[in-house]
Amino acid sequence: MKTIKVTLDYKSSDDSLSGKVADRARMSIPFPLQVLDLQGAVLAEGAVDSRQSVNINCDVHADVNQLLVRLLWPTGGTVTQVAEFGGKKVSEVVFSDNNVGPESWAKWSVSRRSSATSSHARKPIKELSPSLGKFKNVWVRLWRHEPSEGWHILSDLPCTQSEESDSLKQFDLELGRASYLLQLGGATMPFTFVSLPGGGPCRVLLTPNVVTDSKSLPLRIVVSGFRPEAEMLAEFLSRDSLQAARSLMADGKASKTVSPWNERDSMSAIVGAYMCLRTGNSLWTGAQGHKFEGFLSRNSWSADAALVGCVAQLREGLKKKADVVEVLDLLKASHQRGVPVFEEAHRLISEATTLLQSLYSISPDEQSKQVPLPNSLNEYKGVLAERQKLAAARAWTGLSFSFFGSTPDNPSPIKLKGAAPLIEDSWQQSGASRTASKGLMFSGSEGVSSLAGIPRVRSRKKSGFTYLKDL
Amino acid sequence: MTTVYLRDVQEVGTHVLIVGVGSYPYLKGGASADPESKPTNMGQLTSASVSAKAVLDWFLRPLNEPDWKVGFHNPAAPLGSVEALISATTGPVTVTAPDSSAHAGGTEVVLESATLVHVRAALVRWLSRLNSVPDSTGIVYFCGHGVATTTLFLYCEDVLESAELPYANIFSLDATIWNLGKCAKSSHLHFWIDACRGEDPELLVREQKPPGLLDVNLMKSTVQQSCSVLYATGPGKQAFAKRGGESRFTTALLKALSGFSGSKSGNGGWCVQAHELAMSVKTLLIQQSQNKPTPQHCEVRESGVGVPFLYLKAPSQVALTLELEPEAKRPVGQIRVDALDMSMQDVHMCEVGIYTKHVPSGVYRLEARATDDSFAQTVLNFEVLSPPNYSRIFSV
Repeated sequence: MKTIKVTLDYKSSDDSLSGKVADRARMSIPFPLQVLDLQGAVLAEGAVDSRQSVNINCDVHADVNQLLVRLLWPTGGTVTQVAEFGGKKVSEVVFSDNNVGPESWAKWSVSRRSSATSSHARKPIKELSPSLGKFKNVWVRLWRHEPSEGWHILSDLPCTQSEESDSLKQFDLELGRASYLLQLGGATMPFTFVSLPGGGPCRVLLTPNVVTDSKSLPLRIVVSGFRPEAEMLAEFLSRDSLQAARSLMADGKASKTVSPWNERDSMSAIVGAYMCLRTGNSLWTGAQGHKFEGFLSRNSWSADAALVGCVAQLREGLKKKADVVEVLDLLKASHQRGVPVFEEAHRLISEATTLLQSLYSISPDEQSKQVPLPNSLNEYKGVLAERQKLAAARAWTGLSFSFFGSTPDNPSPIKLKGAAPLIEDSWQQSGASRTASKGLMFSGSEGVSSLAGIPRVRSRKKSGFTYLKDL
Repeated sequence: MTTVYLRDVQEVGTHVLIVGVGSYPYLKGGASADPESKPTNMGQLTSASVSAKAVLDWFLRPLNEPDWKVGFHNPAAPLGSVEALISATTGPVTVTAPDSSAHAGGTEVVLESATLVHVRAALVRWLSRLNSVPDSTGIVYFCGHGVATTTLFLYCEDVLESAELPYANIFSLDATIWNLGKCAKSSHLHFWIDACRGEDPELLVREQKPPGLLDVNLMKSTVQQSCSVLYATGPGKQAFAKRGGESRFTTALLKALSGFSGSKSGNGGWCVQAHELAMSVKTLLIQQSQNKPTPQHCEVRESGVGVPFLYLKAPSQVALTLELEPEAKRPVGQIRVDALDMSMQDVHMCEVGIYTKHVPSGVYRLEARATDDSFAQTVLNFEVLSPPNYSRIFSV
């Protein structure tokens, strides 16, 4: 048996996240790690953060003098160090972030946006850093959801601080307890909504995207609610990196924090619930059932939690026919509470709507063999349709729930580009209900995909948006 | 006949269903196409049957040729059955069946066409074999037309057969997978889907929602252990193939399956898990797409706790490419490749060209030096070479 003491000296990355706020002083970004032999076989896995070193035991022959320790980043990037034993049983490796990223204030985000790989700690992590210049006219708009009133635009971004360089733009927001969407768009950027974690501070970082794959956007958008354990796990889940996610949860600190039974932090509890569902752990049965009721009750404002409840019940199977109404009610609640915060919700929406769609697809003579349809059929059919529209409009920005569309009520897979649409808020015009439909006009520019059939309105109120260059 | 191979024993096994749909009689260019009907521009696929046959051969060849080094091998879950349906533009597809409960060895089996009824029946047989012994593995490969709205729909051969129900012979892949999760007891499921995921506005406009291949029963609980879905392309994107040849995705898939994916496990053997296959296929597809106007990036979706589905008889391989630049230095340049586990050592004189070799995956020391000391040595002491490829240019 050999033991490797692994120390993570990523203090400056942690500090870039903690900033000056005292509550954040205990934050440390955890990373999963692997120990490899010289054939690349994974001998052991674990996780480490900068607060405390970890000892990883490896069942290897006493003759083994070298092993590799590899730190995993959500993007697929890795940092590898050699553990030299020199005939002894114990070795030590230290990972440092001294050479990671030139902008100290953005170090917290490097592992979530750079896929660069370093095979030796002393080598700098080389990243491509194209300029943000061509995105300076990307516009940014913040939406807030009220359960009884629907979505409306905030005239100003509640920005508490910001940083920028040639290739990065970062700003911090202070958000109330509600569902929020940051919308971005422009001539080169499709109209994209990114869900932000409400109920406290939130950080957004924007940088040109150097990754070109089937789902990448021109701008890389990295969001943090200052919950490093939950966010790292959510990042790995969003990339289907289940092995790394499990390694992260092998760490005692992370598994306590990112647990569905965390009563102090809803976001971490929600990510914990997503992890359980992804790995096939039951949330609903036996001793967990009672605790899960508590999870739903504590998070009764959260669209994510309602969705988790819906899918957890569907996976357990309905105990009695009447339970289908409860499941449909949870899906409806998810819809009424705004949009989820995490990308993982897209998978659950797809699962829930696909399974529940079957209620409306079976022929009448087969219905008696299956679950009876609820009387309020049309109401739930509408909710299903709305959730399916949201699923079809899926965008991908990492851990954050994202979708394409012109307004939050009109998600669409069609990628619109152009100037910020002018929204007529008829509530402000006529004093009628805020849930009245919004007329939509584009301010007009070249290359804009038009929405045919939208009537022009006589009086328009120009809704708040900010250009990236002015943030 | 769709059952090509059947090992009639009650033990954990791997059960395979292969569907290749290239011939669409009612689509554009098909023998029964209605020129007045314009719901879709899709036509015949000359590559789908070729691709499906190649995947079928990969599973069957080790049974027909025991000395064959690549192909399916899983001692923990040996091949239990193979169902195959292929609709080809060139007519019925025949395969030489290995010896099994289904056929005597050497029997020439004519595969059934991939109509919806046939596909559903084959899936039901495949499922019942999966359920006969828990902890079994199920693999489904589909190559044919696909369109996406909120979910992915796959076209069987007889789509548009009925003008009144034009989309009756399409099925929802996602609904099928979610439903299988409630039926396939304690199983590990893998789906390899070689189909486009572009949007079909006609489906959207008509608000069609074709169901899955199996009926949903919401009273049942989810019983699968793990599930992986490997898509040939990303959401809203197309998948590509050369006319009459294998598709890009299937070429990458078969190369990855044939030794260019996987890692060494704790017990010393080499094996492949779903995420390793996905990583290799992704890299190989990117490589294939280089310099092409139509890039293609695959996508994977995983859940549960998986197990290896394939075991290798030799270490997984890495296609290693090393170059020395500038060209003027090559006459005196030398590249050394040393495996740190001492399994190989190579010295390459750069004047003969680029160093390319398939090497076992592992940790290597790579060095570029001048035989006359005219440039400084470059050494990479601990390079991890993982499948499917590794390339580096030494700039000296």
